[in-house]
This record gives sequence, C-alpha cells and structure tokens, in this order.
Amino acid sequence: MRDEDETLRDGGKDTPDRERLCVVGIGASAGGLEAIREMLAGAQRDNNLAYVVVQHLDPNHESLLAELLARHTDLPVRQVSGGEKVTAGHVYIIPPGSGLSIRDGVLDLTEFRQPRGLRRPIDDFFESLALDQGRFAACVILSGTGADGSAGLRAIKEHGGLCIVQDPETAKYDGMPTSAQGTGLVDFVRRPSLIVEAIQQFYAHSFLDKSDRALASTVESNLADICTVVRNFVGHDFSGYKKSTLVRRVQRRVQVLALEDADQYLRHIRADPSECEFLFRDLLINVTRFFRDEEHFEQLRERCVKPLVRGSGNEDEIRVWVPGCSSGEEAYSIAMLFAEECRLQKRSVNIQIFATDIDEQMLRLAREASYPQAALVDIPEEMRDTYTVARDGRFQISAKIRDMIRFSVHSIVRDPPFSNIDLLSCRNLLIYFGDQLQAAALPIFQYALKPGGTLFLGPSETVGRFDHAFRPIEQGARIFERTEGRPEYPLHLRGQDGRDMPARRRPREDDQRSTRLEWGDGGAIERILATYAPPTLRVSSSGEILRTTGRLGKYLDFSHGAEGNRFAPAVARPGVREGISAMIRQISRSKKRTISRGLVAQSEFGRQAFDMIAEPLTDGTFLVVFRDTDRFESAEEDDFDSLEPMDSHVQSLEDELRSTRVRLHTTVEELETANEELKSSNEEMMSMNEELQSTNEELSTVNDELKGKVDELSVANADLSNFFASTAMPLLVLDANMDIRNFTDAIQSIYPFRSSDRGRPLTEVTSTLRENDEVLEATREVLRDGKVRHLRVADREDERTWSLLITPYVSRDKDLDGATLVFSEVTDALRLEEALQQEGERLRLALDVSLLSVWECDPRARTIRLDHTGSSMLAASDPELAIAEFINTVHPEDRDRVARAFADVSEDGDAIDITFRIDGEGPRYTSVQMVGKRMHSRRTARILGVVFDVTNEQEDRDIREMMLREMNHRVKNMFSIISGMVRIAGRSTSSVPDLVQGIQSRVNALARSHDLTQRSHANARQVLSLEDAVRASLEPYDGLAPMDLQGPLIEIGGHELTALSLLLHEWATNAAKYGVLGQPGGRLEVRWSRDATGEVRIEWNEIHATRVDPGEESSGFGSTLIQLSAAQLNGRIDVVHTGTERRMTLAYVPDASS
Amino acid sequence: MSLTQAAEDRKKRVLVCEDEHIVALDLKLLVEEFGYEVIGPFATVSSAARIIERERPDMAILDVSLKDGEVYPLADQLDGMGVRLVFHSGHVNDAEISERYPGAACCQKPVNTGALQDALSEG
Repeated sequence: MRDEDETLRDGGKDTPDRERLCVVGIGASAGGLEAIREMLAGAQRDNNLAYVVVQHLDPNHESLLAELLARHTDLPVRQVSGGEKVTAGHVYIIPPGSGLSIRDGVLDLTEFRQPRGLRRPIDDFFESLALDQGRFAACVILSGTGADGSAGLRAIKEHGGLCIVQDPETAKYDGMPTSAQGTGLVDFVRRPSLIVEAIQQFYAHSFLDKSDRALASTVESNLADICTVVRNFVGHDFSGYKKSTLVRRVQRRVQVLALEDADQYLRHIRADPSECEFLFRDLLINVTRFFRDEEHFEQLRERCVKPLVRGSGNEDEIRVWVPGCSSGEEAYSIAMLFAEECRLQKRSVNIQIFATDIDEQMLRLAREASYPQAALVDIPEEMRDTYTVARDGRFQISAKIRDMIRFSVHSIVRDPPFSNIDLLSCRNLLIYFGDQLQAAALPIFQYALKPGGTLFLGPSETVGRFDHAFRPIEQGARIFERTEGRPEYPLHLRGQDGRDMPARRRPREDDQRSTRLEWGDGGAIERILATYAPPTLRVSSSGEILRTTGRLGKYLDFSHGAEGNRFAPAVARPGVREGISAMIRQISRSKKRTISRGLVAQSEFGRQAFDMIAEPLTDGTFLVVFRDTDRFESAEEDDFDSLEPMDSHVQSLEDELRSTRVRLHTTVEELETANEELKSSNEEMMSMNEELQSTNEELSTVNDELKGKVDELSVANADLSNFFASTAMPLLVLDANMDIRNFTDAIQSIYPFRSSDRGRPLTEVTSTLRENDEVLEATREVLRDGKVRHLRVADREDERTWSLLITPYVSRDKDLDGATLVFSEVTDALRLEEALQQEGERLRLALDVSLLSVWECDPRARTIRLDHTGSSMLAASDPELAIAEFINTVHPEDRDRVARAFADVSEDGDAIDITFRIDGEGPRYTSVQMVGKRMHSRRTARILGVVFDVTNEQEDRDIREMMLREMNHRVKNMFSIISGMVRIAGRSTSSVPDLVQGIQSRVNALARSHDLTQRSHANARQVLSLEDAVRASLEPYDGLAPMDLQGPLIEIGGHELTALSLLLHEWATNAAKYGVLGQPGGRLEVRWSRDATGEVRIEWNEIHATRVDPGEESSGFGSTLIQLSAAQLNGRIDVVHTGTERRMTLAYVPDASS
Repeated sequence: MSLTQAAEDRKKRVLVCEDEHIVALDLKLLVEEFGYEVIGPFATVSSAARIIERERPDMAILDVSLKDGEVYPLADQLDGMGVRLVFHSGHVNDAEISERYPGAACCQKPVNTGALQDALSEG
C-alpha cells in the first residue's frame, strides 16, 4: 500500500509506455512444467514482455527446467544466477535452493529464511515485483498445490498490476489456482495457452497511443457518476477517497474489460450490478498481513499493550478498535499481542476488540480466521503454537483469540463511532482517503479514544494538522497518544444519516453476531418488544441465551453469576428449568413449533402459570416465548410450608443431579484432554503432511523433468543405434571384462560377429587380424592405465591395413568402464604413401646428382625453406628462414634485386628466375641461380623451385664479356690509329703507291702485334714478352742480316704493345731500307733490360760493315710515327752514330697500371 | 660574320684531349685545318686540367678515357666554365653523355671529319 510511490513513479516516467518493459511473474509448482510450456509456446520475442518463472524446486537437485523449456519456446531461456537485468523477450528461471527478488529491474537471488515446508518463493517474488514494477507487473499462477502466490497476487493487484490464474479445470493440481481465485482479485482466468494473449491484450490496450492519459481524463470526468452508481448498489460512498487511486483503479477495470473509455464503463456498470461488486472489491484492495511492520508492532507492545495490561484491574475492560480490518490479520495480531502480554504478566484481563470494515465478504473471511499456511511465518514464532491451530493445509486462529474480537460492518465516516477506546489501530486506511475524508476521520478517532488512549497508524500516515489532539509517543512507529481536552462529537455524522442513504445494502451473509441488529429503528419496535410483547428468549441449540426481550424475571434467575452463566436451563427458575430443557431437546430434533402448556414457574416472589412456546428459526436458533396463562400469585408463608417435603425430594434430585454434573464435568474434562492430545497429534500430522506435500510437489517437478530427459535420451539412443548401423567405420565397444558390449556392422570385415556375440569375451572370438594377440594385449593395457593406444594392424593375407585406436571408455562417474576400439582403414593410404616414397627417392637422387637444391617459399608467412644442399650452398644456418634473413645471405650488391624479385613473385607473379651472388669473403663469390614457380594448391599459395650453383658459368661469362669489351675497344682503337695514320700519311706522301705501301706495311705490323695479343689470350699462362714484340717486328726481315736479340723476360702490357710494335716496325723498316738489313755485311744487335727503378731500356744497335753517313736521316712520316709512339710510351729516344754503328735507345717506364 | 673574318679576328681555341698519340696528332691537324687554334693535345686529365687554369678554351674535344682515368671531372669543370664539349670516343654512350651534358656533342671513333667539323661549327 504505497500510494505515494505510485504517484511518484507516474510523475517521473519519461519513456512512452509502449516501450516500457512489462515483467510477467509466473508462479508454479507441481504440474507446472507442462503449464509453463504450454503458456510460453505462444510467447513472442518481439514485444515488451519478459517472463520470470518461479517454480517450487527441490533444493538438492539440479534443475533441468531451463533446458526443457528452451526447446518449446522461441524465447531465450536462462537460469538466474543473480544480477541479471531483465530484458524483454527473455525467460528467467529461478535456480533451485534460492528465492528470487527484483529491484530496479535487476534479478537477485535471496536465501530462504524459512524451513522447507514454509517457504513461499512465489509470494516473495511477486511482492518484490509489485514494488519494483508497479502497474507494469503481471503475475500468473499456474498448477500447484498449496496457496503460495495468493498473497503475492494481492500485492501485485494493490500496485495496479495484472493478475491471471490458470483455469483450475485445466491445471494438474488446482490448489494454487483455486486459492488465488479465492482472493477475489483475479483479473483473468484462462487456460495456459491463452494467458500470454490476455497479457498482451491488457498492455496493448493500456499503450494505445496516448489513450492512457486520455482514458484517465474521461475516467476523471465520469468519476462522480461512477461513485454514485457504486453508492446506490453497494451503499458505500467512495467520493471522498483519494482521486488518483480511484482513477487508477477504475482505469484498470476499463482495461480489463477492454472498453474504450469511461463513458462505456459507466453504461456497463449501470447495466451490470456484478460489475459494481468487482469495482467495489478493486477499490478496497489492500495488502495486510500478520504483524505487518513487525518492529512497529514490537514498539506498540512496549509502549501501549504492556502498560495497558499492567494497569488494568481485574474488572476493567480494555477496549480496542480496529477500523478497516479487512480480512482480520491486523485485529488478530493485536489480539495476540494482548493475549501474550496477559500470559506473560499472568493477568486475566477482559479485552474487547472491535474490528470493523465496510466489506462484508472480507469480514466473513476474518471471522473464519482461516489463513494459508504460508502466512504462518509472519506470526512471531513464540506465538504460533499458542494461538494457531493447523487445519487442512491452512491454519486457524485459536478460539481464545477469536473470542476477544467482535467483527462488524461499520463505516468510519458514516456510522457512529465506538467510544471509550484504549487503543485505536487504523493502519493503511487513511492513505486511501482524500484530504477531506482524512480531516473527517481524525476527529472521529479523537472522539472514540479515551484521553491518554493510543492511536496506531500505518507507516506512511500522519495525524496531519490534528497534532493538537494526538501527541506522538513513537514517531517512527506512528504511535500517538490522544491528549486531554474535550473532544467534539463529529457533527457531520448527525446531519447526514437518512438523507443520502437510499437502499441499504442487502445483508448477504448470516450476521447474527453483528451488533447491528434491527433494534434501532426509531425505538418503536424496541418499545413494543420490551413492554407489550411476551417475554421471549432466543437460544442456540445448546441452550445458550443469545438475546432476551421483555420481562423475564419471573422465569429466569439472573441474580447470581450475572452475565457469566448464559445457559437457559441453568438460569431458569424451578418449574421452567425442567420444561425448557425438554423443549429444546425436542425442538432440536423435530424442528417444529412446539408448545408446552400448563407450566408453573416458581420464584421467591410467587408462582406464575404459563405456556411455553418454542419455534425454530431458519438459522438453527430457537425462539422461546413465555405466555402467561394466569395471574401472578404472590408467595405466602404457608406455601413455603406446604412445599417443604416436595422441596426435599427436589433437593435430593438436585443433589443427585449436581453429583452427576460433577462426574460429567470430569468426564468432559478428560475427554477434552484426550481431545487436546488428539488435536496436537493431528497438528503434528498436519505439519508432517505439509512437508510431505512440498516434497511431493518437488518430486513431481523432478519427475516431469526426468520424463523430458528420458524422451531426449530415447531420441539420442535412436540416433546412436542408427549411427551404429549406418557407419562404415568398424567400431567395437568392450566392457571392463573385455566382453563385447556393442559394435558397428562394419566390424564384420575384422571380427565375424553375430548379434548374439554381445556379452561374449573378445578373447574367444576369432579375428582376421594377424596381430590379434597384440590387440588384446594393448586393450588390457588401456583397461589398466586408461591411456590411449595406437596400433597398426593388418589382416592375415596382408591385403588390408587398419590404424587402430584404443581409447578408454569412461562412464559418467569418470570411472574406467571398458574400452573402445576404432579401426580406420589405411590400406590405400599406405599404398599411396609407398608410391610417394619411391617417387621421392627418385627425385632426391636426381637432385643429388645434379646438385640441385629444392626450396619452398610461403609468401604469406614470408619464409623460405631450403633443403640440406641449399642451406650449405647459401651458408644458411637454418633450413627455414624468413625472407629477410635469406636476403641477408645475398651479396650486398644483389640484395635489392633479389628482394624485388621475391616481392614480385610473392604478390602476384607466377614464376621467378634470378641469378645472384652469395655474400662471403671475396674476391670470388659463389653465384647461384634460383628458379621457382607458384604452386596453386587448395590450402595455400606457395612458391616452389630449385636453386643451383652457377659460379663457374658466371665466371666464364664474365671473362668472356670482359674479353669482348677489351677486344672491341682495341679494335676500335686500332681503327682510329689506322684512320689517323692514313690521314697523317696522306698529308706527307705525294704518290699513291707509296702511301699504299707505307700504310700496308704498318697495318701489317699492327696485325702482327694483334696476333701476339691473340696468342697470349689463347694461352693464358703465356705472358706477352718484350722479346716476342721484337721478334715479331723483325719477322719480315728474317735472314737478311745476322740478328742478335738478347734480354731478360720483360712482360709488356697490351696497351704498350701497339706503340712498341709501331716503333720497332719503323726501326726495322728503316734498317731494311737504309740500314744493316738492306746492306750486306751488317748485323743487328737488340738488347733490352730493366733497371732497379723499373725503367725499361731497349737498345737497337745496327752495326754496319762500313762506315755510314749519319746525314741521311728520314724526317718523314716514319719519324713522326716514332716520335708519336715514344710519346705514347712516355719514353725518350736517343740516337747515337759512331762510325759503323747506329745505336738507337728507347727508355721508358712501363705504366704502373699495366 | 664569316668564318674567315672570325679566324682573322681571333681564332677559336679548341682543347684536345686524346691519349692515343697518333689519333691526337690527327685530331690536332684536322682541327687546325678547320681553322681553329688547338690547345694540346693532352694525354692525361691532369695535364689538361693544369692548362685550363691559365687558358680558357672555347671548345673541347675529349676522349672519354684518358691515361689517368675518365675525363668526366675535367668535363664537369669545362662545362662549368661554359665551354662547348665534343666527346670523341670508341665506346661513348650517347645517352649517358647527353643526359649528363645536355649541350654536348658526340663523335664516334674513328673520326668522321665532316661530323667533327659540324660539331665544332655548331658552337
């Protein structure tokens, strides 16, 4: 009952209702699985509903509920582990052994505080759900025994939520649904498959556009009319109640009925009186429980009950008023407090508690005082046994407590109040009243309470501006003391009655104990009854006097015991007593009007003759009417005398009667004791029954779950046997004794099993395996140590080979319980492997012979793998290298090129062909050629190729190229020289034949020198020596004169040769034309040497037989050539003439570069 | 202005670098026939380099490889002085030269007198 909270929540919500999450709590117990399944099968993911399932579960048993539900709904199902934020379209399941609560939309696990029989997880969850979600909470109660959920449902309803119950006819166990229905607060009763639809419809209606607000406003405008209708039918005026509450509750009815607006509702309620009842009930929804706000009650006990009991005398009466008592829990709580306090203080105090409410149905519940077992936990433990009696799955408040309370229909604001009250407890009623009504109620309370009396309010109620009348004793617990000061009788009560009190509500139930009997109509009837009607008694079938009217003094004797003894036969005067007992007995049997005539009543005053008429009433009581038949005869002295002997007879009879009564009393007491014992045994059995029932519920849940599991298992089993029948894989399962447990059909090729072989030891069965003994031995080992074994086995003909895997068979308890033998045929694979091996060997041989190395590059991993030959060729440390590492083994000048080539082929190239040098100590580097192709296989692209040593080829090629370059250069040079010579000669020669002659001889000389170089090239070991050059130049003149050529071996460079040859040619030509070679008798001496400085000297000495004239030196083209050649050699030429000798000397330092 | 007049005014001077003396002499004679004054011929880069410190030629005929190495340092220096270059070599790479010295001419060995004369007169 938290109206303020609701108002706050309504005010603070910003999100449109249509997107607002609605949480549906589902409570179920025995038989619930089926109902939940059926209900959630129709749930869709895409709306704003979330489901939380609270099922009674065995705390010692793992729940399969989530698993089983998940198969039957599209919604994701999960067992709550605490902290889940509830999301639309999900199903949350309570775990075993915990309670569940929700706060700010987050689920939380709670621990049970109660022992197993008394837990009520559904109530607990619904209550927290109601507080957390308000009108966006819905609760569904499904199959189950007991009454869990009924209290929670009340809370949901109170906070404006929706309450739905499974139709008890469709429920396997209808205890819970029936109990919930009994609260009268249920909105819909549906079969499970229609429940989700009902919820959706309800919320869909409430979320239609802005209809929520619009509806509220139409309700507001029609509220007065609706209140009038209710007042006319039910007799209670709600117009003073808090408007927000009224609007909300009416709005709910409109939604439940799926009407469009309040106008329609007004028509509906006018036409259908039962709707009035529904609305009335809805308006009066309240949550109450024993000792609600326990600590406040504790305060009340300390501050009020204890002092009241202590301060009262034996004759005093403590008067308590509990207005708005609803189903009575509050009143009983207070009664128990008083009774307990009396017990503790060992006082006997007369306590009168008036509990009033305007709802007769509630009062009837209150009078029955029978509550669901679940509510027992609210009562403090020490009071439970004393003040409650277990009955039939419920408990009842003991008679002692019940007798303290009078329940009656009474409206605070309409009916005159009680007075002289010591304690007035009015909890959670004022919050429903509007300000005006509250302002009216508090003066009534002030009037009702004695000065110093106590007012006990609900936790969110205050005395408002009446703080002058009530002084707080305990502000926190809302306990107030009524101050001194004269209260004013609430005036409004006097003016209002009769005026707007049309049809009084029709009495619905027996109300014989109600104080409000029809005595009060203006006093006329009372007057007639008291004065003019015959004296009359109304008695129960046991003779208890319920009501009296008229002057009964003549017939009854009230003098002793006063109110104490109310049994008619006991207080009847002699003469009446005998008749009345007989008459009551008779009429109890016959149920007919009976008359007893001619009776005489005797009293100390006189005698009265009378007839006694008894008439049964419809409610089982009787009217006893005394009709005087004669005048009253006053008593006279002699009458006493005459009656004496008769008296003594009567006396003796009475004595006997008395002793009989005493015996009877003893017997009755004994019976009662026996009865008490029986009762306590019964209670014990009841509680045992409770426990058994909850165990039974849990068992039936487990049973449902197991049934689901068994279904699954049989499917799995069918799958398995199909697998065994259809698989081509030979498989054999053995138990721990190596007996055959199961096998696939494909095993026939290895073991010739028949189906009757199941259970036979494997050792007895023949097999086609050659390694049968090894297989058996390996199996034994597996059974011993639980380790997996691999074997390769073949049949006896050696045609087929299998790879055998023996694995331990582990049972659910992780025990070794056998072995599984799986055969995979590898015959083909083996053949293939063999063929591949041979192929591989052939290839390897070819590679070895050709010194080829194979490499493989993975472009993605950027690695390159080399075989042994390759590694040593590249001087690589590792057969597998990253490409970067591989590049490092390349000669620095070639690295860029190689890296580029690899980058190209890695990216998209198809092939690679590159030659490079390996880095190392120079000058001679190993050259290799790498050839590769990209292989496209399914798994990956890789580049595969060979690498081989091309150092020799590379060197040969280098030399060849160098030689060609050199040759080309030399030939070009030669051409230049010849061309220059021709032009120079052309300038100095006049006749063409001379020119031709001169040029030709010199070209010949050049050709000879070229021959020399050619020879030296052809034979690399032969160096080009100076002697060769000299001899070559003299070759054309061989034999013309004695020649003496001498000197050491002096190597000459190729570039020196041309100049040297030309020079020697000129000298030789000159010698032939003008010197010793042309004339007989002369000889030629050529000497060459090299001194320490490296200077080469060539002496050309022509020794003539006769003296020669030195003047005939030629200064033509020939001498130009000599000069130029000497200059070319960077040398100098000396010419010395001595008589017969002509000595020419060339001295030059060979170029260091040669 | 006619060639004769130019020669009379002041003969253009051509530096000749060629390490083959016969060819060098031939070049010298040819260039003088064309009406230029010859500086050199020089067989080495160093000797030529010494000369151009004192004398600034108008043009230069350069063999690529001389006795003491390739002619390029000298060519760079001459190019820097604004001297027109004519490369004369047996294995000259035209593309390389024209890239390095965009204004230079190239004459292949053995010398083509007409081509040489054209190359010089263009300067």
